[in-house]
Amino acid sequence: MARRSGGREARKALRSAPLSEAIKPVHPGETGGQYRPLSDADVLAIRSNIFRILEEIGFGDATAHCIETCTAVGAIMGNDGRLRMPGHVVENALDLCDRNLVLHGQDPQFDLQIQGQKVHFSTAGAAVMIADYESNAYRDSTAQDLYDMARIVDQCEHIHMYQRTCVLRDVADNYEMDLNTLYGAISGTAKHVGCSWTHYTHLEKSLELLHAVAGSDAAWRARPFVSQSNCFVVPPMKFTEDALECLRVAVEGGMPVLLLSAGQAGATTPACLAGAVSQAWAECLGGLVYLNAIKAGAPAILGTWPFVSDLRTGAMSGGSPEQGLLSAACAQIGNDLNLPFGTACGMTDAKFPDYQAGAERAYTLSAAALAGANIIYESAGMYASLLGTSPESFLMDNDVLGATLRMTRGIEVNDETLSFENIRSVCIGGEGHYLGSDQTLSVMQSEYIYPELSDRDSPNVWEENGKPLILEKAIKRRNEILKNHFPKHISDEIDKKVRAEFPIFLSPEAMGRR
Amino acid sequence: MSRYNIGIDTGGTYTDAVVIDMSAREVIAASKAITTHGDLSIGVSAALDAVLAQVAKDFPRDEIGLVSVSTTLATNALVEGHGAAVAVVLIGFDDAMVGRSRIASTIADTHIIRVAGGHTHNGEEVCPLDEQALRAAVRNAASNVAAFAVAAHYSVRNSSHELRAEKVIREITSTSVTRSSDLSDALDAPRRALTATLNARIVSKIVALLEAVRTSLSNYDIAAKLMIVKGDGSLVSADAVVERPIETILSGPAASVIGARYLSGESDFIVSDIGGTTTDIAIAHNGWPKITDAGSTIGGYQTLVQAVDMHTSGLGGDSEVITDYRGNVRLASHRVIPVCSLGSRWPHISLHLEEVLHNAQGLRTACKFLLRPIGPRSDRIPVDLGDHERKIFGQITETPQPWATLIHRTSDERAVQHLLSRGLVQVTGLTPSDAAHALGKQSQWCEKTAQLACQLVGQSSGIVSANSKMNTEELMQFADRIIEEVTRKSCHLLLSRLCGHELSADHPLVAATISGNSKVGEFMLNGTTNIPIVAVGGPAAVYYPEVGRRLGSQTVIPPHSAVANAVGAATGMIKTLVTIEIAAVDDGGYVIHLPGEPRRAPTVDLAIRVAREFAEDLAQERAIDMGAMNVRSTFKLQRVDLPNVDEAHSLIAATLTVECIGEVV
Amino acid sequence: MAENQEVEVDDEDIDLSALPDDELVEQMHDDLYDGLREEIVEGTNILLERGWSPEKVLADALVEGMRIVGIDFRDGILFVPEVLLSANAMKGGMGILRPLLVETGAKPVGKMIIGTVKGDIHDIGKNLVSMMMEGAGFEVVDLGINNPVENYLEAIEEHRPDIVGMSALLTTTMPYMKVVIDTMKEQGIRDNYIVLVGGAPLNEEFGEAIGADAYCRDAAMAVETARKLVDAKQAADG
Repeated sequence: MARRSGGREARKALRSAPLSEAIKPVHPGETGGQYRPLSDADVLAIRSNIFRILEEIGFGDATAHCIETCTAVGAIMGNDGRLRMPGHVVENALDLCDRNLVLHGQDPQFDLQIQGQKVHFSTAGAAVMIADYESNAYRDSTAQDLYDMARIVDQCEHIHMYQRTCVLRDVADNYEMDLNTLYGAISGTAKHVGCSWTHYTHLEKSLELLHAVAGSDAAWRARPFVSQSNCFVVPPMKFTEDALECLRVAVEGGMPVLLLSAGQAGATTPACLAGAVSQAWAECLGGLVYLNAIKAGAPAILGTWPFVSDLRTGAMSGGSPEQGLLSAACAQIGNDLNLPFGTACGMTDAKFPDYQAGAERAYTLSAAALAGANIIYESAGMYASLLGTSPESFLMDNDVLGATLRMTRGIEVNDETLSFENIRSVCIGGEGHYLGSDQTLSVMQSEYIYPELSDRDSPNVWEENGKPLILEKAIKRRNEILKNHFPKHISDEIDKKVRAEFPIFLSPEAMGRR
Repeated sequence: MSRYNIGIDTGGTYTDAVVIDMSAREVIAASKAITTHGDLSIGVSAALDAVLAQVAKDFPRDEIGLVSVSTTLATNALVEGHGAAVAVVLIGFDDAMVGRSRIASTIADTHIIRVAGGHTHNGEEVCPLDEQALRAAVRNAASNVAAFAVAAHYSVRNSSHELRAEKVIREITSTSVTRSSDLSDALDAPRRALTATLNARIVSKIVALLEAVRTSLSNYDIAAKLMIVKGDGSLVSADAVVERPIETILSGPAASVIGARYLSGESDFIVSDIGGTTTDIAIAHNGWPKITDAGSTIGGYQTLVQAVDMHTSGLGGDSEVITDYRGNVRLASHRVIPVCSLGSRWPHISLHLEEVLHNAQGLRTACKFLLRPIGPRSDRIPVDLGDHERKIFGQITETPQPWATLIHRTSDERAVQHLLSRGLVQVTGLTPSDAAHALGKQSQWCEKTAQLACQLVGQSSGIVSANSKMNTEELMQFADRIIEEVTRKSCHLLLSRLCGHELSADHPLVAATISGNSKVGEFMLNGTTNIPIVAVGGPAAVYYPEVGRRLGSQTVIPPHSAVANAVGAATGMIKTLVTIEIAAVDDGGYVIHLPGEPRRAPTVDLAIRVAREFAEDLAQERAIDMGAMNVRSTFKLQRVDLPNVDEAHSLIAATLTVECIGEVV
Repeated sequence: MAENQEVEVDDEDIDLSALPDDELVEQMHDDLYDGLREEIVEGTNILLERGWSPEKVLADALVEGMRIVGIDFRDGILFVPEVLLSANAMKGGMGILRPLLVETGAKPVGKMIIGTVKGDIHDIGKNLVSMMMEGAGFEVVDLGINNPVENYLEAIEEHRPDIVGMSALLTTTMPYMKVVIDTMKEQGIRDNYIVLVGGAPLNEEFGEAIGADAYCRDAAMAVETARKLVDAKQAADG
């Protein structure tokens, strides 16, 4: 007998499944830019400052190839050994830069539009330890950890791509380490992946692996799903050879490059925030010049990652409010230049997921996201100023990122949302409240984001549920994911092929295969 | 401690008196007299007379320290709706509250005076007391009423208007004034008003009773302290009780609990007092009767008096036995005069019974003899009797006459039923007392009459075979069945009370237990009780050993159980209770609702301290005023707190109770 | 009436009249769940035409359906607006049944007055309780917010409810509940009514201490408790 669709079973199924795209309260790439820490005059001043640094100070330690390629497009090699870039050279590079950058995932649903003031979140970091809450200790990070974290991030809706988070301390050889970092990451998630290489030859071999996974070189070039994190410059204003070589190989191999300038304010960039912002951008634009000189329009993300030092100790302080300001200011400049760029924000100096961690993550992220940074790296899971990473933290951070995206999305103002007619009908001759109105019903899921782990129950209900703490819930969920979620977007066949040709460290069983 | 105490209980049928040697803990004399409901003091005097006649000639009357009386005066007044006409002043009552007090509808002759005034929940004045209107109304009513009652809205939070009204009334008249907040600490102004009104109505009665008892005592050269038993089992001095006679409702039943305690030595027990007409059951905790917290309801009046939670059922040694042609034997809930109780005095009763047996006719009504009520005669014939009733009434005398000689037609029957229901005439019948006598279990009355009665009634229903002679075996079986009925019903009452639920006698588990069966199907019934049964009352020894056995209970049937009430009166203690309410005030700080004007305190601790000191002082003062010795106080605090707020700031209200117990000197 | 955007309703209309009784009732439960008022009205009429007594339609189809809604609301599957939509559909059915119930002299489920106490303006919880109580078949009179004791007394007088409901969300206004209950006691009317209290800062202990009949943790609990106590009261009254 025919029955109407709908009803209780249907609703339960609906509510336990992810929301449809149409009514999701937040999407990757919400538009930021509302927060402007710099005035228009400030922006102009910093911009001139950037150009002046490039024109008058330039870079030291450029490789031969770099000097050759850059001078060919108008850079000037000085007698003092410094490579300077006059304004028109930089402007040229800016013109050539691909502003419609798409970072692909192995699965197209995860493709990211890195454009305008759209905001995305990523992980990153080369932590050497895992913050193990349950044993209350820090321990060495391993290949399994990296793969596991990729899988966890795969289940976090608001972490849009996965950049490697830790160092494989159980793999001795650098080549094998680079290769397994890559394979662990791309096996654990079909989202876009970011990796780094210690030597350009490792990158060359890695490209072969990627061709195997993509199916062919052409397939890889059409949709490159891994970007290279490249610290091509050692601040202040010095190129570094190994990284430059990796950059060249990446560009030639069709891999998007994250041009990273990661100075530390007060140590390797000026202590004054405006100066730190200027230097960071000058360094990245220098890399952009070189990259476009190798291949015009090669996909690149400008990675202005100035960090903060705690001048009491000289060590880095990722959770400081100044970090948030730096990221936000870099974002504002990036938007002004209309370039695809990223920044590092959302780190914490706390050792474990605690009050300090939550607070530092939240206020720094808010600043960067609202300022409209295209990709906010390090946004989840990093502790002790990048020395440690916590797997369960991703799950809790996911709620923070979702909330931040919602704030970034802002408020839509139109006739419908102004709700005048609704107000009229409720107040005059109506029920006196909006709880049951059609409008409330129609926007209750799209207008509001509901956290997955954060608890909003009343104390009575919370007590009845056994007084759950968010960390306990996260650990439970983490265990569930690690036990059950083994992504299979790379087929068994390809996996066998890869294992035959490359030294894959983790056993097939450890990665969920027979 | 005094050497000797005298306890007197004016019960429904009998007035008992005992003399107790307090140091030896011994009942040295006990007596019974008929209760004279028209004027209780007559029966009291007769009982005193009888009991003093039992003690030694050289009994030292000056060593009698206490005479204590438990009285049915208050209970009867409520049940019968008697009392003097009074005026009640209702302060700050709206129409609905006046209606809910039910004073106008249930105590018709009450003069209701309504006056503006009253307070709010936190003891603030709603509006000033309209003294002018009050004065005028009181002047108007004073000469027509015997007493005044005063009840004000929220007087338990601030009694100043009631106090003021009392003062005003006393300026005009010297009649007694009852204040509702004096009688009860409970919220519920309509019920307080009702309780106060009922109290006022019986003040004059209690005054009269006490006067008469005092006179009696002085006639006997007894100079002892006179105390009355309250419905909670404690004693109150004669002087204090005249202000609050309503508190003596259920004093008899309460006294029976105290008496049961004294005689059995138990302090936690269930007491069953089986008399001629009723079985009264109550529970004792810690030596005191369990109280009806919500206030006792007597005669349909919902008072706020906290008296013994007594359950009364129509089941006694003199309950009428009803049989039918199907051979069923059951007990009615009303009482008749056991025919064997008249057998000795009136030999013609047995002769008549034998004759009926011989003729084998008129068996059904053979045991029914009609007579005028035993006790002081009242020759006043009520004016509303019909002619027929008057005729029948005229034919009935003090001498028991067989039913058949007076009642011939249905109309005669109707007439005599009416006379019976009005208590103008009495009738005898077959009762468990007769069965007990026939079986030799009791012997104070005529055994022969008892046996004849059992034979006749048994034969009339075919339970005992028809025979001109007496059939001993079947007769004994029939008598046993009657005894069994009383035992079964007693078990049922006790079981329900012990369980705290009304239990249906039809339920297989219940039916088996009360019938003494040890199992139901494969399930063994091994129930026991946590507390022993103390059985008192005339026929207790006949039924309660078996009752106790069936309920698996330790059963105590103490000696002198027939006069347990009087013993309880003699051995009672003084107990005073003071309750103070504390409440948080909106603007911070706390208000202490002391009698009179409320007082303020800034902190919880201070408020509790002030209240406690006041309550302890007052409770002790009241106890000592009544002559209590070795006074011990207990203090209880019940708090209403806001949840999840720290203790220093969470209190919104608290009730503080101080109870003082002391012995009578 | 807005269609629930996420749930697809079949374009081909189901013929409710073709469904046997038990399936029709099941469908009505689902329709109530989805807040489809017209369909509930249709279903109600069909059952009545088939000879069902109005009490049975109320109990088996509507009240039972709302009970299921209450469970899923408490489990976080249904959002508040969806519950209200269901309650609205229920009201559609009640609109037809109520005059019939009155006519047959059937015992109403019960009547409640409810209000937020003096000094307190929070009313969302109270509104939810009202909706769900109506959904359970109770007649509800909502006194709004900021009610001094006089308002409750007046309402008791006028409406003679079975239940007096009080809500408070501030610890400063909670004590006022005791004032209302004390006043009911002082006026001698406390025992005639069931008093239920609710509000996030309250708990069971507090409700007991101030003399309420029960504390209700949420709207679903309120309905359950109300039903239990009203049934007991009606049984006792005979």
